Amino acid sequence: MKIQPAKRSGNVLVESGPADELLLERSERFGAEEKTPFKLKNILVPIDFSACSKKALQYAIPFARQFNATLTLVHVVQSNYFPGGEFSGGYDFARAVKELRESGGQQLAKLVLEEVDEFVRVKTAVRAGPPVQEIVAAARELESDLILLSTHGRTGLKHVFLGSVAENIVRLAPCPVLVVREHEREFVAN
Amino acid sequence: MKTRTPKVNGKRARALKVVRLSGAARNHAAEIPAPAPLKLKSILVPVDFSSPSKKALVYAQAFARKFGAAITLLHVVEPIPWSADYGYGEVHGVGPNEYLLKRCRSQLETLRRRQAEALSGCQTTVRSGKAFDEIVKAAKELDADLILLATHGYTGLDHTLLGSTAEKVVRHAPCPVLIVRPEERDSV
Repeated sequence: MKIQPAKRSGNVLVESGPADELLLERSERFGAEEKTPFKLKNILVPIDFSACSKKALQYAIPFARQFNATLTLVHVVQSNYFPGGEFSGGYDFARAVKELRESGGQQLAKLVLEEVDEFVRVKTAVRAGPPVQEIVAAARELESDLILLSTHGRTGLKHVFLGSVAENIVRLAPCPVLVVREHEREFVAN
Repeated sequence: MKTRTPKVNGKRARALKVVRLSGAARNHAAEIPAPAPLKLKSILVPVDFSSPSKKALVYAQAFARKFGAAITLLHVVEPIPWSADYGYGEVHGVGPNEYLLKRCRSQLETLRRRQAEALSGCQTTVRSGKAFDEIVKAAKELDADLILLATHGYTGLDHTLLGSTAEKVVRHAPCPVLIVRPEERDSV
């Protein structure tokens, strides 16, 4: 293919030969062939803003680009069952949860701006409730094909115990789960 | 200002045919993303010949085709505990189950031969020991980039009594672990 500037500014002269037509045809079909073995369309990435979740995001972005999938980042505000009424000790749990949800949403938006480039489709969601059940329910609702999880979240017992959240999600998930950890042999280039 | 066609290869360009880029070509020129840096070279697939591990094999085929990764099939046989009394008290130990090891080696070989067209060039190995421990050790030895494990998905009483190899492998693995289960929303 020869491309040259033309006499009128802004136009180009392109000479295209038969080999180029063949290449264009093949490149049209290339994406279609690639998609057949995997049908990974939605990836769910639970985020708790620890260093390990950033690791999960580092894995999620190349996955999304490779498989042309949509990422959904979900943050769960832990609100199990709070005492109410006269047992709440004067603390308004409902409002606290609401404020945590809002700040979680803002932090997620900031994370998306910082980490994710424009080639990847990203959605964010904030949920409140027991973490494992909320993540599994989110996976079911969003019909995600993969959950990308990182271990050693905010447990306080690092290097000894797997966060029980990850372990329970592995048990209850409705789809495959990819578990990554902070220090390990990686298959994603940094 | 008079413009002249620029020199190409030292010669003035002659009149060239104008070809409008077709719609598809125009889109391709704009949309080609940079190649994603996923380098999966070696995948460890523990199997226990149950139906969930068939699922793991399906995924392994897909990964091998997509990333050109080398697959290693692994089967772990539990050793037999023995105890003996040599006159100064009882001694206990565990020894490999030779009969089962031989049977499983041949079973794994037939599995590999059956999967030959799909998984060209996959290795097989049979180890003796505790399942999760051997899986983790094998992953470290083979420098696996990914462990592809199927879980039975036991919940409730089954989970309490039988435990889960998958969970233990996830806890101790030296690399990412992909857990698949028999009834789920598939990615393959």
